[in-house]
Amino acid sequence: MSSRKKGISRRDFLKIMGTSGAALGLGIGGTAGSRVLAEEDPYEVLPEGEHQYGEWVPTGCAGCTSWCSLEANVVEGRVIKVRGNSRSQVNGGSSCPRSHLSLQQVYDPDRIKRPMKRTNPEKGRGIDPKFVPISWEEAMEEIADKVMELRENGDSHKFVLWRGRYTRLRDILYGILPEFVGSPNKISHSSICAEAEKFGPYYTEGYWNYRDYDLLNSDYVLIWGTDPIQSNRQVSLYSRQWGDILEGAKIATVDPRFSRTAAKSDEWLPVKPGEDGALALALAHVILVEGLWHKEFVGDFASNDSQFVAGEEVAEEDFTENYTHGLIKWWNEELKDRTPEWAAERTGLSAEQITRVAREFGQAAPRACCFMGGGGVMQIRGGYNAMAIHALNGLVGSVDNEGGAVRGAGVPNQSFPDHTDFLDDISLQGLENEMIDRRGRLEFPALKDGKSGGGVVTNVSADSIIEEDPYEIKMAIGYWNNFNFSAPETERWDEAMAKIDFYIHLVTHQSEMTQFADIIIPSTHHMFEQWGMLYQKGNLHTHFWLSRPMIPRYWTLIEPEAEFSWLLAEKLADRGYSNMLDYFRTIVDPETGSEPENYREFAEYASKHYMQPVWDPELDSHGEQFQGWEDFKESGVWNSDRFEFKQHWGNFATSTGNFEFYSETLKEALQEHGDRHGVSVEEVLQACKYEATGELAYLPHYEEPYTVGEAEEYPLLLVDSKSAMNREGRSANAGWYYDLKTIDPGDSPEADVIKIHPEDAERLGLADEDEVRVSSPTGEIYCQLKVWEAVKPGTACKTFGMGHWAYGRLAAEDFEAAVPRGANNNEIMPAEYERLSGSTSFYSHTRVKIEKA
Amino acid sequence: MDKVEPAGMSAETTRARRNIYHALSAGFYVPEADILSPQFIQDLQENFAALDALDELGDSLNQLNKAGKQYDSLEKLLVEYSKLFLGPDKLLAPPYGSYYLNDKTTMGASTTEVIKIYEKLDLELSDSFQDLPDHISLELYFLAYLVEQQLVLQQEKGSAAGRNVLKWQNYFLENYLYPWQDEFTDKIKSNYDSDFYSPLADIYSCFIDREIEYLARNVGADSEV
Amino acid sequence: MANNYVMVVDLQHCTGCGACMITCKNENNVQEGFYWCNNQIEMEGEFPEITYNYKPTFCNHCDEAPCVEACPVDPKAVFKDPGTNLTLMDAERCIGCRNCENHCPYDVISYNSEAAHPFWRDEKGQEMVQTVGGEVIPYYNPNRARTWDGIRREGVVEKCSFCDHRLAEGLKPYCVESCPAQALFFGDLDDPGSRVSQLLDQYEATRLQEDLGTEPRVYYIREFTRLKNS
Repeated sequence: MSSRKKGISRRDFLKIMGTSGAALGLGIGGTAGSRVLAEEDPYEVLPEGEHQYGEWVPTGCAGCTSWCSLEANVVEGRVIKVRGNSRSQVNGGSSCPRSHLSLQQVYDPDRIKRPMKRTNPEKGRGIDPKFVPISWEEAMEEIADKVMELRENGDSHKFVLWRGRYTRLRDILYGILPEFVGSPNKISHSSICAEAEKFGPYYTEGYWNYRDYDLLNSDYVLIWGTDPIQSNRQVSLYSRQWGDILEGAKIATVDPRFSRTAAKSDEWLPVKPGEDGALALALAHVILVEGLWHKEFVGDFASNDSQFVAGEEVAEEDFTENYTHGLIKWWNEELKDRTPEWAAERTGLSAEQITRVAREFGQAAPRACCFMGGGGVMQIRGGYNAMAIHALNGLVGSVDNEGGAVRGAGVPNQSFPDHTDFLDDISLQGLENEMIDRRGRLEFPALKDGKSGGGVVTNVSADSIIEEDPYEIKMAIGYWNNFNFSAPETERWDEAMAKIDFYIHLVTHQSEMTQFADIIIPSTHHMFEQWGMLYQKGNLHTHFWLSRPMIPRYWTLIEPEAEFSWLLAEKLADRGYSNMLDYFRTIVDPETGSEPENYREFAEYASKHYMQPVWDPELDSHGEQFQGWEDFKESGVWNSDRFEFKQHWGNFATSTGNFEFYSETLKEALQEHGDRHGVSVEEVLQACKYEATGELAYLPHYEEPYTVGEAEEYPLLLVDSKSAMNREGRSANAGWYYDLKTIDPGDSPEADVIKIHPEDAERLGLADEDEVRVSSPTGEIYCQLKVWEAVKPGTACKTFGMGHWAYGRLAAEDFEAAVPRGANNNEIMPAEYERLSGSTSFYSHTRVKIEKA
Repeated sequence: MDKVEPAGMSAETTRARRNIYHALSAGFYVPEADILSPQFIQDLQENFAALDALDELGDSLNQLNKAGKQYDSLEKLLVEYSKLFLGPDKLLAPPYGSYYLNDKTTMGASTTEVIKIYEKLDLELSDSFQDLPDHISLELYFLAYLVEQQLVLQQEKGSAAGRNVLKWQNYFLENYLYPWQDEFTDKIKSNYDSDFYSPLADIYSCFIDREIEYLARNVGADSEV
Repeated sequence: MANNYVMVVDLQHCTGCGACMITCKNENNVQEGFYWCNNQIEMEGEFPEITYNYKPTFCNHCDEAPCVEACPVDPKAVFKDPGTNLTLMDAERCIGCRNCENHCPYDVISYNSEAAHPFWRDEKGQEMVQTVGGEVIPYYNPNRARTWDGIRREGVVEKCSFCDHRLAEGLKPYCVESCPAQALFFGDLDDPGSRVSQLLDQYEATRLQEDLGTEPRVYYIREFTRLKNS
């Protein structure tokens, strides 16, 4: 009855599901669909699509050294969000703002998507490399040919492997591969990262590492040259705890730069750059004079009448130390004259403030914590600052103690099998050569772990290449690094990299250093596209997390540490040199015993192997326990037990076993280094630009800051700081980076700025928003001036992060033409070192002049 | 039946609505010869008459009628259709819901939603339909189906069932067609001067407006009785 | 019964990190240059006596909303949602007159004068999206589209909705959930047991530009700065 009689012929666009295609005629009221139509409310059964929760997959972040355990939200095969992994005892559910930039990194349209080969032999900044895509087969073959050529010509040592950031799979590419090539040159980035900061704790308490700090249990927190809620370290953790730490503790922040950490402190001590040592010594002086040291840890005078009086020596026998060594020597040789008034003159702080902070810090002992970062110590003469600053924790007995400076736990990892039996004579001979970072030379003691040449001097390797001293470098592989941007005096790197005949960069983006590459191998993103693992401490725990491939791997990406090494090993085997591949085959799947058959399997098995003690219930381990690999993967993070206090009291890994104010440990190391070169300790110090003589060489003592350039020509001291949005220089091509520029106090979302105080601006005839040229004896950069009240007069503050002339369309003003967006501090920063640790100096040594551009 | 049918829900009205949906669905699909036939326009005219809509639509229907006589070959109409809706050049008036609802993409989130609605009602695309699931022709065809089901279910299960189907019509129309009708018809009219598709766009636009009003009046009308 | 939703910001816990700003962009597919969530920074004093106060800002979802008042469309394109007391927007009804934007005293409304996310609309950007999926942006959050345009169309205004699409699922606004400092609280003021009620009982609170009589729904408690001008 309702059939249509007129009109045009019927179209048949829809049909009942599963039928052969008969038209939707009439009288078909009895279908499943018609029941729904008759009875169900569309507004209820179809709520405009369902909320897509996707899956939260555990991973971890290497965007800075906090190394937070995270989870990533995968929806429809895409990662769309990240958050803290609440199972971590370190960062818990908190994740800092810059972690989210990883989304714009992994999906950056400017990422390198396939292997590329240089076609323009000329190399230099601004010279188009004329990269063309090649297959990975072809890329790996060229690399293998070059390795074989070096080995055949006895040049195997003329190879260098540079690593920047890493996962623990680094042991394969960085730890092992260069040895199979036959080169000693495994050069890490560590000394542009920290090292001087580790020098202080090592030569006082025998611990070459970052510390953990028990701030929640502290009554007084002294933050020194660092910025835990903004840039470093454990930003996620301290973001969560800061409000509560403020409830329980007074906080004082020592930093020439005004940071958010300073804003959220009770005291700000804007010390003159380089005078951190003077301040630390005066604080120690007051603590002693006022009798505030922690008697249980440090000991006491035999008689109640005795005390420390400014300017007066104390007889060593009058004082008995408990867990420390050399307090009276320190007092007599150095501290007795380091009054607050003396320090006030140098630091630009008032004697009242110095006294107040020292007193309140001392009164809180032992729950008084001095949290040291790089700012006060990564200076040319910063090594002794590091000792002095860390020694404050010794004085108040907060070392290894509740509310103080503590350590992380060891993690249950498993090293890769020994590879030395697989090395041939070419390799063994190659390994005999000096390393190109000159570590251990007279002027580069790099006394990591007490050994002459024990540490790395990253930034000097550019000079070595330019000068061919100790020898020429013919081939290099760099990964997850960008020294042409991140290492001071970048120009040297441009020159050095142009000189290397064959450079391979394993990298996600076309960075500055990539512009010098002959072959680019596009890297996976460590959080979402590959296996990887890292461990870190915080909140009295150490965690150890696993990242994994969780989204489809598009294009031709290769994980740089394990997969690249395997692919190269295969090609070397094709050329008759199979040792590395033979060795890699011994790293089997711990569950099945299967040998890896390809690069993807190798990376997975290596990850399982490295973390086996974590997940394998058959193996003994401490901390959190798991039932197996799948069980662990679900969690994604292992946690240690809570740190136990006072576990090192009486057995510090120093020469005396005690916390050393007078460092016998340093004395031995310096003497060994001097002996190696046939010179005295004083001559060692001179070569390292220190001035100390006699016993001061082994004591935290005052050294006048060393600056480059004359004050008359370059009137301002550069204060370099790191943007809170930096993922170590790798996030500048993310749009959100610029949208959040206001979270770096004083910075502008509109332009990269250098900030000076209104007084200085007036004196120099400069005004807010002037375009300026900033020059130092090393170079010049162009940026905008910001006149800002919170800058210490006499300094110029500039945030590090912008100034890329490569890296992508957002990072550079004109990527094609190599025009930078903003300005890179490292272009004007002279390449200088804290030589005792090998650390690069970033703070207090750069003098600048600012003029209208 | 002791319940009074709400005013506009007579079988005649419902049939007219169904037929118009069918005709418009065919009108916006790749044209076949019968689109230019007198039956097509007559059909529209009669059904709009049944809805008392000739005052409003008379002009457009006349224009369409004239156009039907002017086009001497189907080819001319096909050329216009391709320019507007099919490609291969840039479409002057993309006929896909997702283009408007999901920011100029096709197969966007709204497409998935539309597929889910078809699935919920146990329907799928016929093999003869060679386009995306949120193509305007398919969506109009789907509405024709819903109106037809309204008739069937009203007869078989009573007026409450019939009114429930009105809800589905309303839901689909307000979420998946109404939001982009203006932009779509604007594009047809301003991007290309077609004697056929311009009046068809007007007819479509006017009909959908009337439908929105009609459904607003009649969905849930029983609760007022 | 309507919910009486409010946001409470504990400024002592806030570290000024900006995670709320960035996660807001993430959740709501907000393009660069637009800020549904933003900050207000006030610095005072002379070196070295500096106070620095940072406030994260959101749409205040005012009870007496000038934006709603200013919207000329009937029914309103910017409206108070009776179920939640939130100030929401309807992209279908919005005619792009920008009256709401001009009348908002808090500067939280943005207008799409062109297609959003231009960075992603060029060849390279689209190649990425076509490869990995998503819509316009590869990290597109499809859930935003459940109650509004997933990415707002050209010619309409947009602003913070307190993540109404999440509230509908019983989830908190994403900025609240993502704040690493746990400084943001969201809940129903009519529920005396809610954290927001407790905090507002415990601490004195301020709201932005209270004198305007807009009755904002974002409250600030305690202080950001610790440093005091002496």
